[in-house]
Amino acid sequence: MMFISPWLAVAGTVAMALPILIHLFLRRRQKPIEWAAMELLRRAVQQNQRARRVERWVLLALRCLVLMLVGLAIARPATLTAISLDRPVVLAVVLDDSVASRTASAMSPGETAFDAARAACIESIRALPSGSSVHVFTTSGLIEHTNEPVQPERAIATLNTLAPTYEPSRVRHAVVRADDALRRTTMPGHIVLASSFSRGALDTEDQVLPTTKATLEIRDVGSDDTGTAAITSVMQRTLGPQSIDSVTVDVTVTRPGQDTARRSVPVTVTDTKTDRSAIVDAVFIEGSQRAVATVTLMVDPTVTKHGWIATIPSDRQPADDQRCTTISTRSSNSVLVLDRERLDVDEGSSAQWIERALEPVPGLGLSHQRLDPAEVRASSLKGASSIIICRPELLDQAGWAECRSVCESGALIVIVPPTDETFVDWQDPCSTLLGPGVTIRRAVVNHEPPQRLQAQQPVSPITQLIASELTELVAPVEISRSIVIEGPSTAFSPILVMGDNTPMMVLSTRGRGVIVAFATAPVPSWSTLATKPIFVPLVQETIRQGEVLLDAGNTVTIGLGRLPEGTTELRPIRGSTTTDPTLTVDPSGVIVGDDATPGIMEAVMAQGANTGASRRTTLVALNVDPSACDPQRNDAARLTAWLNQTMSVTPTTGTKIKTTQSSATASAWLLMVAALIVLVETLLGRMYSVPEPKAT
Amino acid sequence: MSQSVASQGLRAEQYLSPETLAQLAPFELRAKMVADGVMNGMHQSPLQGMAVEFAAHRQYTAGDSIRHLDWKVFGRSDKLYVKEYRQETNLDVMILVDGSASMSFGTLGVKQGWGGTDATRRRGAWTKFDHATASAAALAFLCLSQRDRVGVAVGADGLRGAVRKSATRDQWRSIVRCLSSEPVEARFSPTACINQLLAQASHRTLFVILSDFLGDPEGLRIALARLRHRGHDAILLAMLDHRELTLDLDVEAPFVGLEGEATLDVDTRTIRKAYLEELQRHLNGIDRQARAFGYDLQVFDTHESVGPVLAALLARREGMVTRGHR
Repeated sequence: MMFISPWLAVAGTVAMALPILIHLFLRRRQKPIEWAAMELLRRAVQQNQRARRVERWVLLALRCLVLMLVGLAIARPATLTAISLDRPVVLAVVLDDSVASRTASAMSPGETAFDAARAACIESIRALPSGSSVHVFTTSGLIEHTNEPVQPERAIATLNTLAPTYEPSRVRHAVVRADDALRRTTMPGHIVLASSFSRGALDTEDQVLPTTKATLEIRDVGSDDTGTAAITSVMQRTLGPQSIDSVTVDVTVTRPGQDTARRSVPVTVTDTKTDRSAIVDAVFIEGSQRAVATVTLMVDPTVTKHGWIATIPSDRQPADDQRCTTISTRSSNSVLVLDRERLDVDEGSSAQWIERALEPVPGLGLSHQRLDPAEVRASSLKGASSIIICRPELLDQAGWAECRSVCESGALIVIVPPTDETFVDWQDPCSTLLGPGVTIRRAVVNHEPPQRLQAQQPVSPITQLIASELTELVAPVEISRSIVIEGPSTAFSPILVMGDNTPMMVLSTRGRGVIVAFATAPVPSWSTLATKPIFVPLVQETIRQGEVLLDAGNTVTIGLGRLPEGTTELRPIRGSTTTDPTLTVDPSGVIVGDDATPGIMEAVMAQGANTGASRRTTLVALNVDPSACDPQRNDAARLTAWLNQTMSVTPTTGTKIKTTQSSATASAWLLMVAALIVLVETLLGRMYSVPEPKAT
Repeated sequence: MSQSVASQGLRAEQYLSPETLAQLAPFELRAKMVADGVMNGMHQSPLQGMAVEFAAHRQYTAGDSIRHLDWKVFGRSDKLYVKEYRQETNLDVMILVDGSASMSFGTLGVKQGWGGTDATRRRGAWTKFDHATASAAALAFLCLSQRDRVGVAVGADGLRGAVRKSATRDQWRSIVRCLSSEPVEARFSPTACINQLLAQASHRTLFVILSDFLGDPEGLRIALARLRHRGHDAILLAMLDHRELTLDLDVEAPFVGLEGEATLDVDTRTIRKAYLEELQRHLNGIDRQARAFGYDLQVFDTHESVGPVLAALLARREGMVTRGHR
């Protein structure tokens, strides 16, 4: 049995001696008492004191035992074997060598985050018991030994040859490869992921930053081949929406004996959909002289010009971290439009109008993908951040369930009423999705004359960016047909309201997701909404602000000392792993031990954990630079969800939960025994209590 | 005996505080068996003859002296009645105070204005010896005020000081001087002390013995038997400290005897009940011994005033004497 807080167990054991010390101390301090009736005293002592002395020693022993048990209970005993490395294992080291790892490490001055991560990996390898073997993976994917594990010495040698790259971080892929490699072995497997967990160190493929602030920063300045000219600076130009694939930078060249020359050099970012590193060369050629400037796309929070579609990996948040270097583009399927492919020659379908609003110019706007509502399943919705349901009547029961599930896990659902008369009951599942108490009338209301929208629309986060122009934008909109969405004010909030005060658009939340429902369809037979200038900004803002709302709910952070319930934070053991190759995890999920260095963390959600009884793989995420870890966005839930997506099972969760339970159970038992002893002692004390003296 | 203290002339006032005297004043000190005395006083004799005061008529029985027939009654009624008289006698009182080491025990802190002995001042507590001497002084003063002859003695393993019985004016000063001593490092031997006092006693005397009676009960029994054999009366006043009576002490400590007993490690909480039972058994034994000889035993709590207990004792004895007459 181990103790999660062993020093408390020692303290409890030491405290056991406390009653004895008090007894001896008081005994020593007692001054002799003069007494006259010694003969009477002697006779009384002969009668009683021997038996009483035995009883008192029993009581003393019980009291000592109580203290010891309480101490042991507080120390939280546990039969921890979760990350024990006392027998040969296969260790898969995943080293972050992405461009983000080039940043300086706050923990180790003079070193980069890569150096710290590599040192942590080497330290983990050296702590392995004999007979262990190692896989080495890098997040850049340049080095990996997936076929056969190597000896620890060779793995260390391999790690020592590595250097940080300019590649984007592909942590997920690296962990998946490591997991696959460990599946092929019968020995216990462990994955050690060493990274600074800064924003650039975590990638999330196919996720994109909505159009927002981004800029360029020059990272490296080259020189011409002959050395006669050197590029001394490169200045950026203001970026515009058109700068999707290229950017123009100003390159200043100094040549000996000549004036400083300044040229604007266009830089083309190639293959933006697959290579987000955006390391480009600004080539300057003048005559025979040629200079090359390596340009890295960086994020600058002070720049508000919109232009580059960039992303902070692993979250779709506005880029506001100077260290972030990876650039991504929005994937094509992040917005799903649920409708069947059809050609509506008359007026166009809702899906067509919405798709036009999403991407008014090909290549600009929000990319999207059409999906047949009948094919809505979990796999088809994977990766989608927004789902626009244009044909709710075509969704079957499983489709609605999947939509609810995706919404609860953090997705935006936009519901548009069907334009055709239908006998399919779509209102009930739709109202259920909107929230309790919400009802959607089955009958469609025809407005004669058509309704107009109120000039003063309610304040809504969806329309906050166009609020100043909203009065003007809603003025020409006419509603001919609409459905009626009713419900308590706590269930949803109106986004747009018609003249008769009935909602035209409502906003609701469910789980971590957001739901927006239209009361009218964006087709001419229902309303003029799709044909008015409001529609494009309204649709795009609905998507963008809705996704922002998705993220706004996540305020839990890691690395700040307060973890959400069920989350585990791990810290590595430095320096002592050779003698005690275990990590001790207390019920709150924090590694304990005197040698634990704070800051390295792993966040694993206990909820929904798949214990994976057949798996023995554990994953330890080593945060080698806690200061670089973005406390706002790399929260536990995100990291956990990301890790869960990466690995088919959650290996560490089950064992840690088991550890926690055993610890709590043992502590509870110890406390119960202590309480029982106190009860026995009380009964004994009452049994042998001395009556109050009576005068003779 | 401390001459210097006695010479200060203030001890009588200290012992006989107005409070004590006020409580004793309504009572007369009477012996159950009134000694035949030579001095007329307030003590009445139950013996007939030497009539001083008519007591009652009794029907003549064979053997009665015809000297005491009331002829006037015979002349009026032809019945023979004998006249009975009550004779008032003097009382000889000898007060024996235990001055052994165990009497120096006390737990009551001395209050300002209290009387006491040198032992009181040295120990800072009101000891059993203080209580005994105070009681003895009160009794002596009362006896002297009734013209009774009174003497005091302080003894341990033998008499350490004594004042012969007298009713003279200087007797009070002598008594106070004798009582102004302190306990000695010796055990109380009632046999030895009584033997010495009996050697000086020529008349029937009321012996008042003030002690804690914590010693060997057999020695006390022998002493009382000798007193009874010589026809003396006795009152036993047991002086015990309140803590001795209750053991109201929650300690585990070594206890040291005042008379050279071996040290005893005692947890008072565990043996209190047994101790109180032993004490009760001991006092009952003393009481049985006293009653067997027709004597009285009165327990004094040294934390309580002398007066009420003395008054209760004297009231009880007066009642006994009165009932004996009737």
